[in-house]
Amino acid sequence: MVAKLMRRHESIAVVSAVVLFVLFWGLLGASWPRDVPSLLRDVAWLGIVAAGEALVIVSGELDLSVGSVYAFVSMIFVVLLEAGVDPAVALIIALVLGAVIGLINGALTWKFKLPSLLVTLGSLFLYRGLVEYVTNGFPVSIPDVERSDFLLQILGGKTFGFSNSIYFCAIIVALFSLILAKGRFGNHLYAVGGDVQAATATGVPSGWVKIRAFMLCSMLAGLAGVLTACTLSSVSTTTGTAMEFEAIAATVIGGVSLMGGAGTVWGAVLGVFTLLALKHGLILQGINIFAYQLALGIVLVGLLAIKGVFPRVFAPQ
Amino acid sequence: MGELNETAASGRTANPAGARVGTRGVDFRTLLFGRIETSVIIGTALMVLLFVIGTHGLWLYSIPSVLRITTQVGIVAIGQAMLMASGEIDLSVGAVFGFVGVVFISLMSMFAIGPVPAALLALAVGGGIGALNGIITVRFKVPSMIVTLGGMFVFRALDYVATQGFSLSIPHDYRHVAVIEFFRARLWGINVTFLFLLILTAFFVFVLARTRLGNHILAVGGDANAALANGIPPGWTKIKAFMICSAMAGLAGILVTVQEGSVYSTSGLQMELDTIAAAVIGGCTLRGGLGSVWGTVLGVFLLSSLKGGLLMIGAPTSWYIALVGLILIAFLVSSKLLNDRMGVMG
Repeated sequence: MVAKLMRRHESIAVVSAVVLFVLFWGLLGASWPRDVPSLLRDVAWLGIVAAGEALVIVSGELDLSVGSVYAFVSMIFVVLLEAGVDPAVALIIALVLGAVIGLINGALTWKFKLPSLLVTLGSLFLYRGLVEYVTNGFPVSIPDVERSDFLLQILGGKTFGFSNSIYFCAIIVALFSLILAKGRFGNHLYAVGGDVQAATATGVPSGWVKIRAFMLCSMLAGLAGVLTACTLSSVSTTTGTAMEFEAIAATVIGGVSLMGGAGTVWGAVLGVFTLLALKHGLILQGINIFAYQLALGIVLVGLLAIKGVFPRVFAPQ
Repeated sequence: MGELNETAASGRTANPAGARVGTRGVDFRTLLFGRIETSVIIGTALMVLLFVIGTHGLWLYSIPSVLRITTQVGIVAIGQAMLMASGEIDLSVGAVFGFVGVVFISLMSMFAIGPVPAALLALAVGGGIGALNGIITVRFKVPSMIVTLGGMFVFRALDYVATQGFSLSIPHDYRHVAVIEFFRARLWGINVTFLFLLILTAFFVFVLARTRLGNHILAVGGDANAALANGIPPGWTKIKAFMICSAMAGLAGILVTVQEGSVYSTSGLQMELDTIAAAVIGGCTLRGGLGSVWGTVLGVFLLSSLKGGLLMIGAPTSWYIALVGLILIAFLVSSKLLNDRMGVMG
């Protein structure tokens, strides 16, 4: 039973998430449960981004632009609201914008057979530059009159003491876990990520599958940005800087293979939970915030090195 | 040695040595368009022309400052290019750049040793970091992207802790030592360190094209199994490439620290992205097996002249970041199309 669990890609994330949670509860006492709502809210934002990143990584590609897209889409959303556009229209425009960005990334990668790491490195710069261009370096905020809008309340409000972003994240994780496990798209995604040639030979539209993964990834990054903007009511130009690195680290800790073809969305979000539990725990302990980065780096490399040293224990069957 | 040279050259027509072998005839078209550096040469020429005309020649006055930035990023990018030629990538160069600067200053202020031994020790630390990255990548079979991503987090955190979020300065006693003054000096308005960049570029062009190590790096990057079959140890070669990369990042960190007098908690932030972009614009690929050191340095020059040039024609600074992205994608696409047409492997 234990051996079977250990063989799952997500075992490391499951174990470390539980251990960290219990450990900090023991160390911090009552202040830890009080922090859970804000911890989960942070997990939801990064988690939605990591869920999209997981889709792209499973398809055998990589998206470095999620942080910039997260900032750019939420920025456009807020700018539209400032211009007096109806929130529902602004939301649709923001999501379509995310999808188009993903389409461009995916099409460049597939049509020209370019490495996605470099294409999305280009988009990382491009959209970060556009964010600064749109705002001239100043933060933008949702106008006061709009804040009581019904849709914005749904996106940014709270229910039962928990931020609505958490529910959105839960729905997205459930949906995509189901699609990846049972749906045709999920099947195609694993096939393309595992072996493009074999997938194409069996009739899977490989290019289109990868492009859709990119579109979903950018759309989810944009959605996470919109949820953040609605919750915090403002966006600054540095929002989401280096987010791509955290998302990739979380995804890898959550058991998604960088080679493609293996991993789950819920594993990636569990990876996010592990990282952010560590971050919040260290902050509440009063330990220097940079200790988090230090721990993150060591944990990331350490976990994968352990996998490399004991391949048989962790090898999936 | 001679045999290996031939193996690599015939297996990969696009490595610098190979390209030259292929163009020994009179085919002018291949000479100009059949190189991995073609895009960056044309791009740089166009950009310089554009800025000189656009600013009525004023741009030429910004050359010293462009060269200063080129030196800082260029030295790091040379290391990145060497590593990319071996088929690996280093995301930690920016953090190592800052960290080695921190080590350099800490050694001087804590142990009161002179700048030269401190620099040498700090450089050794840089090489050690590279060895560590390489060993974890090779021995534990963790993708280099993840190993160095971890390294980026760790060394950036150490930068922050050591500088307490601000900066560290060279101790007073050493500020006017001859060595430090020498590296701060200017020659005809151009920083001495730029000469360093030129020497390093020439050196590593030579290493990659004409030495056993360069030959091994290209062979391992092209096909690790074939290299192994020819008696080249892929692991050890890659570790050496990692060491070169981190040591170069550290060297740049030390030079910039000497020049500016202090190192900041944010020194080298995002440098990993800049150097990878420059290396790719300069003709390197992620798969390895080919690469150009001087193309990469030219790529750095292109990006840094873009920054200065945009300021001079009065464009908002945000254009710079956006344009870097556009240029990167445009180069990827154009060199892909060009290479497909000219039959160079890309």
